[in-house]
Amino acid sequence: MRECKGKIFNIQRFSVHDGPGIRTTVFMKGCNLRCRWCHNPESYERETQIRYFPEKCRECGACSHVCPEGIVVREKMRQNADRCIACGRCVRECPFGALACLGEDKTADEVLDIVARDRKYFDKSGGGMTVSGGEPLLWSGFVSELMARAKETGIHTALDTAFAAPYEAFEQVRPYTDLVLLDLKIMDGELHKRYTGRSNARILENARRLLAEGIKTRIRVPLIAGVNDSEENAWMLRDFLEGYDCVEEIRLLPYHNMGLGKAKGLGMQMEEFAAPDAAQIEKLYRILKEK
Amino acid sequence: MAERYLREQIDEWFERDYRETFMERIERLLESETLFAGEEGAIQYGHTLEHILSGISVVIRENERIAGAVKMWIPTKEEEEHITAVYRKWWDMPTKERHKKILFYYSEGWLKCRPYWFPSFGHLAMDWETILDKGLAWMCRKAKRGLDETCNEDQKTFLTGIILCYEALERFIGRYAAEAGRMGRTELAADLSQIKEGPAKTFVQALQLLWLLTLVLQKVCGCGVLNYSRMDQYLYPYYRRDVEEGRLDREEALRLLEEFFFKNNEIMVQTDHMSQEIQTTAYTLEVAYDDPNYLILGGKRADGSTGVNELSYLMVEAAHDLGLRNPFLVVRYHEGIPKDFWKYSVKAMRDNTTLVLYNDETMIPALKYFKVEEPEVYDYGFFGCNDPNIPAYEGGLRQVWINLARPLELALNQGDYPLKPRGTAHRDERSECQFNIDDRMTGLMTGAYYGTKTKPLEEIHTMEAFLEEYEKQVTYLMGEFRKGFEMDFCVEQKCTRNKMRIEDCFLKGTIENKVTWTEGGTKYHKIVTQGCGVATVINSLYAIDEIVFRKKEMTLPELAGILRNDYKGQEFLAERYKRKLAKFGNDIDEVDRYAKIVTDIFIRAVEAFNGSEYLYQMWPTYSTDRDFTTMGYDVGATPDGRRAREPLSENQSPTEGTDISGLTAMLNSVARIPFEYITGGPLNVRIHPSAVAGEEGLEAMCALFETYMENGGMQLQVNVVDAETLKRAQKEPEKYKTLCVRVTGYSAFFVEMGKKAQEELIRRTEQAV
Repeated sequence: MRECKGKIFNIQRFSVHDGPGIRTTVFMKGCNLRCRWCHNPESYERETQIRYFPEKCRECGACSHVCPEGIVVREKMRQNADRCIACGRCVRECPFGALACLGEDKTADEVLDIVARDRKYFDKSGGGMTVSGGEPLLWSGFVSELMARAKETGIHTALDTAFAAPYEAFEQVRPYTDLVLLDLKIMDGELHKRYTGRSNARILENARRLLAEGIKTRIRVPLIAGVNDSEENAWMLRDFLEGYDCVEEIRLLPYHNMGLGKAKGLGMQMEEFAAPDAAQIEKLYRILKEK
Repeated sequence: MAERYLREQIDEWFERDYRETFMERIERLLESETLFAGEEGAIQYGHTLEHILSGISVVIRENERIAGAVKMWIPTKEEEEHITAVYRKWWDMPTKERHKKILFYYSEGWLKCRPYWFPSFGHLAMDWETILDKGLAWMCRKAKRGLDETCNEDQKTFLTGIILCYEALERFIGRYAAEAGRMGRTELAADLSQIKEGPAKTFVQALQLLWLLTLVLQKVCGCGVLNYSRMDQYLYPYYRRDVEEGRLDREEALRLLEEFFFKNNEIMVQTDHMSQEIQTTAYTLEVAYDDPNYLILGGKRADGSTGVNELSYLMVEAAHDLGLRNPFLVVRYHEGIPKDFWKYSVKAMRDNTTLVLYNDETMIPALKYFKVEEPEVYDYGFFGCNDPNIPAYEGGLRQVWINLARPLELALNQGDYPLKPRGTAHRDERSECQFNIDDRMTGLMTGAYYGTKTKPLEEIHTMEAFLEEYEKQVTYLMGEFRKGFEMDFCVEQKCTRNKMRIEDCFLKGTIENKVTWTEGGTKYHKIVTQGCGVATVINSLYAIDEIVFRKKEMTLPELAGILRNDYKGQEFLAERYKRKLAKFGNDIDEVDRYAKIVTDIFIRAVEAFNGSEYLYQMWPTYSTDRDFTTMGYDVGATPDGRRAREPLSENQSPTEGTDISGLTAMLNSVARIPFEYITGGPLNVRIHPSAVAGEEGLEAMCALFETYMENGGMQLQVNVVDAETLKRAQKEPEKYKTLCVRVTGYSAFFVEMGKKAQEELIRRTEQAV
């Protein structure tokens, strides 16, 4: 059987914000939402991309020498970058680390080899592996294999999803999932569509099924000032989650602008948002916690 | 929080003018030069101490429970110039002559305040337990009994000097007791009277005696950089008895400890001694300016049980409360260390308390390997900067920094040194010993070093064969150091005849053997042998293997040629090697295997020149202190893409900016060093505060560090601070006066460090995860 591969754009060790304990987070490439505040814009596209770091580039020309498509860097810009086939030759050649490959095809075993190296840290801290993205459910075949392997070796698994995918995709992964980290970004359907490009109808429907099944879940809400930091949104979220004991935690993740630099390096335009102030965050937590 | 009066004192201390000087000491010292000129070594020493201690002011402040401080003021310009001129006169001589007067010194700055007839090295732990348990008079009687036995003239002089010192100390404490009485401080006066000659009977008396000794040792004799050793062990009986008998409670003990800790800071000058360029360091006339005193907590006891007790917690709490740089707490990890104490210590680290971790499970085997015996091996500790020490049984300061990148360069050049090829060097240069006398005195390898003639590179066809040549060069340099050391030791034995230093009064063996520790008084004599640039060497060896033997991109002679030319015309190649070759610190087996290979070579070389024929044994550590920059300056380009004269890797860390796979990966790599052969040295870890915030972050940090220890790591020290905070502190120093950071083996207040050191720390912090 041909081993299935997944496109991975980062494996981050010593992750402490993606579930309990010390974790290694595996980031799958490709997302079907387009959240305007996204801090991982390199995860949008499913295909491998080349990221360019103008501040490291000395325009030495090493990349253009090997580029089969004739892409040249001039004036700190990759000219005709749309021709790029992401073969990665320029990345290997660049002496200054000014080019990077985003997205590598890896088998579940290759990923697990890296993840398992921190096994002792997981065991000691109650941590494990988190599969995130992009949207990991777009890779449900690969992810279920990866998580199954992890479970076989006794590693705790978490799935970080925005859930804009068929529930069947989740069902494929479910047997190997110890914990779901569920992003519920905006409760209002219209607003959701405006800021993420999609309605949240399917997300909420999936979420209801998930919670009804009693699967351990932690809710995560990226918090953007003027977008979803209203008390109304918090109340709606609270009502939505009412009565589900499997919800272990609700966490608000204030916006940060670290995605902007990454987007620029990919030739994308992104707007800057702001985080709500501490008092507002506190207020929202109070709404969400009082029951 | 510390009590208000203490807070006020701390605030005042932060405001103190750096020119304030312990002038009384200097004045009395200068007088004694002529007063006791011509006296025999130890007697001149004893009389000098006596003269100073009888003349300096006795300072007792109102709210203090522990007495002992010095009077300071700003000298006039004329006084300052006069003192500087005298200091210069003392030491203005060729190194060969200097050596006859002082066996070892760090730098001109370190030397200047130490008179030639009244020198002390510090960097050790006294037999604190016996001092407290028996008292000064008991020790003095022991010395007197020694005098009654048959003694030769030198031994007589030595013991007479020792007795003079004890008596001077007793009288000094007596003056404190009298002053306390005069002030109507009955309790304090009684405590002081008790410890004047007798043993400490209570917790506060024990701290009082320790403090007055520290004051004299450090501030008068220059015997600083002390190791208080396992204070939670030897003070515990006093604490427990006082609590049981209702004389003391937890809160009062904490208050006393905080006072004691603060005093360790108060006698220091607000500066960073490693930043020689800053005004405060350049100015100081003091013998002690920012010496770190180490204090060891927890750890295994000889019977295998844990040493953690109530006092261990209290001492962490006191340091945490104060947030100052002294004392430098070492918490000794061992299997089965109480979880809550571990968490308590890690929490303090997260809050940037001056607290570091060491691992008993590697340290004890390592020390045993280098012939330290039970039970004293269980009491191991450290003095600044992270150098191993066996309290009471061991003298102290002898040190060499072995630059492990040099033999690599020598192996690539058949023993020649490309930055100054043999052909162009003066004929007699380094002929006697590769380590010239200046380098032997300061322990640093500066300038040109040549190796033994190893195989021509054309004849080397495998990595194993190259490693053999590397090992020959490491061994050769180690042998050269030993040769130089023994030459010096012959001179020392002649010059040290009948001399003493204050530490001889308080060690095990000196009085019994009637000879100063440096000549064999104590049981152990070690040379801290610091392997430097370990990650640079690991990366370079991996690079050679990869470029020459595996990928066959070029031959070994070709690669060596490029390095000799410092990558000239091949700059892109250097950049590529720097970035594209795998590096130590990323948990990659093919690279990390060299951690063991390099360590094995280093240890074999050390062992080749240890043994019963030598009094001093080398104890290997991995530690550069801040000298990775100066050491790098003398090393040409290396195959890891490092250009000539760039810094080496720092302490046990991966090369700057190359560990990019997360903290766990970095720690996994470092744990591949077989630390059960390495007797000390720091691993500086920078953690972004957001990574360890909240209860979850704390738990993660505890698990991270504990796992590292279980994996065979040796030491950990952290700065939990982000680069933004440091930059703000640079701009608004007055708001960040108390921001305390770990540098290498000591802590410093960030705003008092030199600009260069600040920038370096910021650059390194920016990479923190």
